[in-house]
Amino acid sequence: MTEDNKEKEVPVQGAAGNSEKTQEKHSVRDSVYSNLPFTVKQMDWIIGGLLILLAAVLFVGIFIL
Amino acid sequence: MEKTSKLNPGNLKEKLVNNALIIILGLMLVVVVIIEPGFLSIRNFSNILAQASTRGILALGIAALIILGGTDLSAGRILGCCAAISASLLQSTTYASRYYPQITKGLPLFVPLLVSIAVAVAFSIFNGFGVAFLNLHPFIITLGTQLIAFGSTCIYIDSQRGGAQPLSTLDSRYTNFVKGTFDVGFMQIPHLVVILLICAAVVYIIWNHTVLGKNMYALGGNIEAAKVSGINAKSNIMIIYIMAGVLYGIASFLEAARIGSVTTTVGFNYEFDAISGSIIGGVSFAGGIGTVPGVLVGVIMLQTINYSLTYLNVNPYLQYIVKGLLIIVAVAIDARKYLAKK
Amino acid sequence: MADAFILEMTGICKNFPGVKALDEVQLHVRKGTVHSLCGENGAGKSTLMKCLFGIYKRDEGKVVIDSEECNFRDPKHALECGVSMVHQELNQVLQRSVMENIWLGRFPKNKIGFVDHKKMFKDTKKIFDELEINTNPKTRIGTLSVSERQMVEIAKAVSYNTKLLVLDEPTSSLANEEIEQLFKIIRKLRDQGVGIIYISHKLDEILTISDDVTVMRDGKWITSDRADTFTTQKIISLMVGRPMENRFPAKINVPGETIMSVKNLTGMYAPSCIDVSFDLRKGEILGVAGLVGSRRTELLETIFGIAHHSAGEIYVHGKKIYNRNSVDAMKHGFAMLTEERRATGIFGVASVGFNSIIANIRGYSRYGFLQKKKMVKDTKWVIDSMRVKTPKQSTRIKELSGGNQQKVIIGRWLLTKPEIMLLDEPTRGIDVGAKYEIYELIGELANSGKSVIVVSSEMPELLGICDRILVMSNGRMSGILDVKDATQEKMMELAVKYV
Repeated sequence: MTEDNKEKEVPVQGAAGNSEKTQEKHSVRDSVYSNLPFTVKQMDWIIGGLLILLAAVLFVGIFIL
Repeated sequence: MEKTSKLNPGNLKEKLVNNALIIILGLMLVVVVIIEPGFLSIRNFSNILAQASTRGILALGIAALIILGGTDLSAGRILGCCAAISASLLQSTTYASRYYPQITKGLPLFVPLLVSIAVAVAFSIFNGFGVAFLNLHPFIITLGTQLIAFGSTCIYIDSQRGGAQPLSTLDSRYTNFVKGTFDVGFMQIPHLVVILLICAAVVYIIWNHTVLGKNMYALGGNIEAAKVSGINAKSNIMIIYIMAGVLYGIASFLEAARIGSVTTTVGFNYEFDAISGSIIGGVSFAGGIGTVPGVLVGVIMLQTINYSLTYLNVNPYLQYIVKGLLIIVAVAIDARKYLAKK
Repeated sequence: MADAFILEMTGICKNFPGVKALDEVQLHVRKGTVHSLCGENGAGKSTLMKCLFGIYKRDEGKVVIDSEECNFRDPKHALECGVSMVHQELNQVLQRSVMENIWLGRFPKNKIGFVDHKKMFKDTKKIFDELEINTNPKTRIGTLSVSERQMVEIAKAVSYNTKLLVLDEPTSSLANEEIEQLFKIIRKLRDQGVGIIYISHKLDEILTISDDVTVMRDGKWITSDRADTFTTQKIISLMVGRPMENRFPAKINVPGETIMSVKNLTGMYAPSCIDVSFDLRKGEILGVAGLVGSRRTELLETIFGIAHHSAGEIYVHGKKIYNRNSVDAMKHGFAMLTEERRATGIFGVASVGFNSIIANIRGYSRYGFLQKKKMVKDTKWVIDSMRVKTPKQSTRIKELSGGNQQKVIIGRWLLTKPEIMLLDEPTRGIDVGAKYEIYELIGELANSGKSVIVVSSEMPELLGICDRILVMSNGRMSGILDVKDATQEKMMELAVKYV
């Protein structure tokens, strides 16, 4: 199984314990959002900005064009 | 369940952000109604729902795949292919340049429906096999299937006796069945809406009351935990792809008659609307999260925005921009939910 | 309690290329007892458990569960046979309810074939009442605390009628009251006849809850006895008491005056180092010891600037410096060898030459062009002075042995002419002979006036090459020992101080 390969790579003394670290990373790896470099606060600002942009586009589309 | 919502600033903000799109829709509707009070009519809503229904059925199929942790970029082209097949089998028997001149007596409606489902399921099995047994990323395999389906559609339409031409002039039984309405009192409820609700009800039962549904959520939520608990990933994934195929087949059958004329462009980018609608409705790309009502709400919302923009004579190209922004916002909100939980 | 055994593992051997991970290990757990398994990192505890659960296939030995010989294919098979494990990182579907998680894969069905939610709720409640757990089975498991999630995991094992339950570091994220509750449940299960294997570094907890204790060391079984015959002192000395062979070169370096001072360094993103202060002298080899999770790597990363700090200062040659990133760090004379060379050290597909010169690449640029001759010369220096065994400079570094790869990376950093070298587990994954060569290199580096900080999980290694040893525990510094006064027992005591 995949776990087997991961730990076989570091098969020395002191490693069996440390391989737990690699296993940790494995379970969080799953999500498409796991590498997102933002905090929740930053996301709030991003979402706010996007919504304003959306409103602006709609405004332009409805009233101007 | 969730923390009891006290109206303190933190909680309020959470709710505001998580439901931002629904709120935006509400505001937009208000604006539209102010500009054109005539928008608020049963007829308009009836139209919106009818337009949304085929997309909704498609979305119910794709949403299951997203909850499973995957996606399906081929749904639109599959719909196009099956719509072409449905239409070709149900053209008016008096139409001289129909696809199958050998059909002189109209086929019973359920026959082309079954053929449509069968073809859609065949494509879906191909997708499911790639994901479940070859461990390919759904993005990759469905990208390939998308092109195969499109090519097949083109060849099929091309192979008519009179060369490539739109598959039109459909059997009136067919169009009446799909585009007809139930007259209830003073309201006219489109058949399409009823069919959508029936499909939604069945899908709801599957997602929430069957082992398959629970397995779907488990595999999408944490595939390792699911496997260790004895859930067979391969067979469950396969069945869910097949289930999506059935829904695609139904949607294709309906869409062909709804439009009335099928060309190779039918179905183009339909999966985009289906996926956007699902995400807006609360289905998460992170996997394991999503509800049937949510999908319906999201799809209808998206359709409402499209419809109202057309109603207000907004430049149709701008509608693309709006749609694009919408899905970005929807994904941003989804990502934020994920980050907030961590 | 009856003296019948629920688990008898005998003569377990597991070999990996070049290493004996388990050497004739035995573990006998009596029915209805709490049996603690003690040992340092790398003693073989997790390897032994992996052999039990079928994640690894053992090379030799027998596993007997309840008088029947067993060969589990995978954890799922083990679960079905009544052997379950609660991992440190709970593997649950966070988006779903508690009861769904427990009955994952075996949902109760009603007559029509649909999932019977009512029965699922009832069955879950029954187990919870037995174990006196107060959680509502319908809550989404992601909203529960770690302690509650752990209870659910244990309840799940009970629902499989587990005869043997393994708990891996169960109290690492629990508060005191939560630990009490956990112990209550453990005792309850034990009284019902379940055998419990308790793996932990917290020795006082072990002595509180255990009936029996087994100590492992270096992949070997050392001893097993009733818990009341042990004291924490005794366990520590059994865990570390190794003979020290002639594994290390003679010490040639002599530390000079202080070159760097670290004061109250705290990493910004938890978990990280907390309030660490120490001095580093010129030509000194400072070791950093501690258990897995003591945040030694984070300390190095924070000093080097690839992790930010929220508090504290670093002074080099008396001047306060701030490493905003690795480029800054290099300018200030730092070099860092990372823990996972395969992941963050070598450029696997590239040549030895590329890997050698890459850190120093800006030094070869003249008017925007790279000076090939200089690069070749420097690579040659790396190969010669580090004594790297490679056929050519153009050989792909992946083809070299682990030890030689490591030497190339050390050499790479030396080309940047650092004053302070941070080495994170420099001898991990390297055979004994190559380790000696690296110890020699480190000694020569220190002797030439560089200061070296070495993080290592092998205590004898630190005792063999360092001048002083800083011990970290749970992110904090628990003490600095002069190597003359240091013993493995002292190091271990300091390592568990804040755990």
